[in-house]
Amino acid sequence: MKKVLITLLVLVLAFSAIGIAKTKITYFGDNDPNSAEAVLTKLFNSSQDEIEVEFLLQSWSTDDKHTALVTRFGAKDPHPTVYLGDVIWPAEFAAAGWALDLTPYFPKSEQDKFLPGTIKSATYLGKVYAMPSFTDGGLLYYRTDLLEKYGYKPPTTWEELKTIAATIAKKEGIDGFVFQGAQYEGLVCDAVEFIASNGGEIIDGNGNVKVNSAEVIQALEFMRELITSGASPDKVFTFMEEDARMAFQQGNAVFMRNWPYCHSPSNMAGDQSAVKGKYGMIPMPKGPKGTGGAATLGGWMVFVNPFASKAEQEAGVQFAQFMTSESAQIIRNLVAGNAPTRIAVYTNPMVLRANAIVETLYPIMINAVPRPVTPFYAQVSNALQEEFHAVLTGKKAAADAVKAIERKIKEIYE
Amino acid sequence: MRKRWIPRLLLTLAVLVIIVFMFFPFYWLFIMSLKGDLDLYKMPPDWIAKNPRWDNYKTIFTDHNLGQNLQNSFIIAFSTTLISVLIGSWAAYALAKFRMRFKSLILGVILAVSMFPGIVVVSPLYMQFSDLKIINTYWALILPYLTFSLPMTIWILQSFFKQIPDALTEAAVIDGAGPMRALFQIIFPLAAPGIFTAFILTFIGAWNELLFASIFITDYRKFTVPRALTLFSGQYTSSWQLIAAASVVITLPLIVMVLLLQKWIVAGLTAGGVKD
Amino acid sequence: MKKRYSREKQETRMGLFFLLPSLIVIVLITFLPIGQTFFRSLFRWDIKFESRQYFTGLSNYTAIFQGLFSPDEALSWTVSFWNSAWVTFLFTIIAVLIETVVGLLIALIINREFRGRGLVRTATLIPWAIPTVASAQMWRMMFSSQGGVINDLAKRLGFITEYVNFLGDSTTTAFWSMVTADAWKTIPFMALLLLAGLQTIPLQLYEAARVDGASKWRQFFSITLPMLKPSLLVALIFRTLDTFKAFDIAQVLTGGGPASGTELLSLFNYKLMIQQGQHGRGSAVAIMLFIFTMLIAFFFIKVLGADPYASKGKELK
Repeated sequence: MKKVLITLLVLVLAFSAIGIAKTKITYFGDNDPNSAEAVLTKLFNSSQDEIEVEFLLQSWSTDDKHTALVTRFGAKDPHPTVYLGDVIWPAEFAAAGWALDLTPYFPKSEQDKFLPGTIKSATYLGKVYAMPSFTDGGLLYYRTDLLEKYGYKPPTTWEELKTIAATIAKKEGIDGFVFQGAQYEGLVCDAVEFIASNGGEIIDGNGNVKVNSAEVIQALEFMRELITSGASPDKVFTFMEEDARMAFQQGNAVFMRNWPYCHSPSNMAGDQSAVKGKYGMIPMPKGPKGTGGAATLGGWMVFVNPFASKAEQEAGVQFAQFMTSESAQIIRNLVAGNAPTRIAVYTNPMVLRANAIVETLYPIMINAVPRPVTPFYAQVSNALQEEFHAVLTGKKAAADAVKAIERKIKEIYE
Repeated sequence: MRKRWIPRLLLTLAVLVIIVFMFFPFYWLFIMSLKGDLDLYKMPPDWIAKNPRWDNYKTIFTDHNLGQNLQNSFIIAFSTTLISVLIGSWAAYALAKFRMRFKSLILGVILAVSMFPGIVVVSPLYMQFSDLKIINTYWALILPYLTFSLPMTIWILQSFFKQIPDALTEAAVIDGAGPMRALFQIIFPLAAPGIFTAFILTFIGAWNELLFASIFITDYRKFTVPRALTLFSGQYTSSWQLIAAASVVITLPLIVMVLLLQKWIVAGLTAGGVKD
Repeated sequence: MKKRYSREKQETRMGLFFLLPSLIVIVLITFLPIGQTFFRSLFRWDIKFESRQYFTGLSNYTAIFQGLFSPDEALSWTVSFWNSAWVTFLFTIIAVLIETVVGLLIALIINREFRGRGLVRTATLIPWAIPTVASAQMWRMMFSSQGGVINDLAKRLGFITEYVNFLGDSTTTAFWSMVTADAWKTIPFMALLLLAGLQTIPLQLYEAARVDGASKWRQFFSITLPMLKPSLLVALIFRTLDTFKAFDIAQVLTGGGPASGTELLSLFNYKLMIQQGQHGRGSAVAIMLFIFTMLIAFFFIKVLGADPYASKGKELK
């Protein structure tokens, strides 16, 4: 009798152990243990019993994040199970076989709930490889007080931007229009906006190289004109996001192109800002050949690692769905001010109350455009950065630059 | 009469300039580590920290895991040094004291290895370490670090060992001691400055290394301190005061060690040529 | 005769036994991988795409040389390679020149007896002890146009009228900023190595020269420099190679600098191989780097007569 009882006890314990055994997965989230990513991960872990997610910290730099993933997946590492990736990575990681095809878990009805631009960035050859988590779009910040002083309305065309910036800059003795002009990814974002707002594109939806066109040349020439006309100072040649924000926040610029993060109490809307309450945010202006201003899509999406075991993949997908759910996006907006990718969140009363800016963002985000979708984005971007910077600094003519870009992209595709 | 104090003055001036030039950047680093967000970007900058934010030093440990990184660096550097000095001293002993046939060849090979750029071995080592599943372990760094520490250790030690008179070791052999005992009981104590130098140079080399540390370790918990410095920024922002505070913290152990052991270091680098 | 020969054989065997652990490590972790890198350089190997992983023989190398001789038709990565090679070559020569001259000056100063000599010696050890990543960050902050002290000083002293973004404005300013940051760190090491050499020069030589009426300059050129030559050459060979291989300073300070103007070869190689995942081309570049370092070593040892194995100090027999 005793033996039977003991056997039963052991069996019961064994089975309950199996029941308690959680699927453990890892998440390459962010570099800050207090970030929204970490908070949401903790929330997920405490809200259910089957999956435990380990939050792995990593470097702050997007390049380093990318390198770490390339190194791991090159060695077919099953970890991290889930990872947060830049909006420009889906094509690259999908083509390399490093992102799980999420189409089975992501029906069209669900996709329609997201901003169209974000779904476009996550799609490669008809399949969806990531779930958009939060997004970003470039926009134009402008000094309401200065425009009022000189009797100008906010610009909607390039010419207006150039004229107003140059005029006020001269009269006030400050900088006109500051943007991201250093030779780095940010320059590509800014340039894509000018190109798209002039009806041009670099690589079209079918992978054809369309950069050598009048629209693109005109856009690049305009960027150079901003400098030569005095509308923009040549210190933008080394400006990244923070440099531009510093200039604008200290009251030294009339216009700034930047991401929504600048408008927050820790930045320009705070007490350390010289422009608190004195600025507005509008879409970037349109070019002569364009139909409307454009915003480059930024933001991040959640991927699942195909080298993980089936069980881990399933767990990963569940986690990804949680991280991109409506409640998660609401929380993320409240905690970190990130712009949501789900359309419904833009009209959520809690969000609007906490971050009224979301309302301003919606028209910008609904029309945001992705950067060139190509599996070789990193190399293409390098080529773009080099050539765009050469045009901006006056070292090369726009027509020559686009020819060089065409040649380099062809070389990359070989 | 006039001529005598001009050289003195120039000398003193030169000395002052040198000291300031060497110390000032470190002073500036320290000041930056105490500044707040806005003070950091102010122009002209404050030359003294007006409201020192000592809690920056706390933040790097509580929010950013620096303690773990320091531990990783220490374990890796110390292990590399121990192994390097141990097997390096055997090699140096053989090269310094034995009459061997292939000595010039071996010396040449060791010298050549010390000249290789690290990047040359990165790719295959990464593949191999992946297969052996030691990526993200301490061995993933200790092993590659031996590539530069061994040749240097052997080079330093063999030049020290050579200066120890053969008579001493021969006497020990006559007394019946094996070569290993001769090495440890006679040569080591006499070549102590050289051992110290090899120790310090290897330790500092391993502590400061960045290239391998960036490639073979991708798990932040195992990051060494040079790599960990990259964790202190955000996507658009860079918390320079935290980077500065962390830099001060990772430098202090080395500075203390160098200051305490400077006599050995100088003696070692001058390979026993110092007479006073 | 026989006794000596067998003694040598015996010592050789024992010696090899002592050398074995080190040799094993060196072969396994250095020679073998270098061979594998060379093997890999005969391929095109993009770790992301299997369609871009195939044998290409020596074509990576011919591509590299095409980048040198006909850059207009060559692949852009090869043109970038020669750009990096040129930047590294320039950087190495200038940095080593500066650190040698200044290092020698400092060594000469420390070599004299005076109060505070210990302090100067300590001061020179500090930069050497600071990890390169920390010192590079430090210089980044100092060179910055927002909150940087160098801009502040330069403006106050009237050298500039407006703040300059040293690290980003132009390849020239970024390059010289990198040289400065590197020199700060390496001058001490050079000074110590040269100090060692200075201290082996017998004082009697100077005495004799003084008695003969030779001026300080004359003494320097006729005694100090020639006697210093062996130590100088050894210091130079190691410093030159170290500078040529530099990675940290470029990676942290400028990330390659405006328009690749500070992209040292090691950094270029890292970006190509690790960031872009091009292991075939990256391996070819690594082998080229390796060849360059061997050439530099050859130049110093065979042409200039450097002898790293000369025993310093006197053999106490």
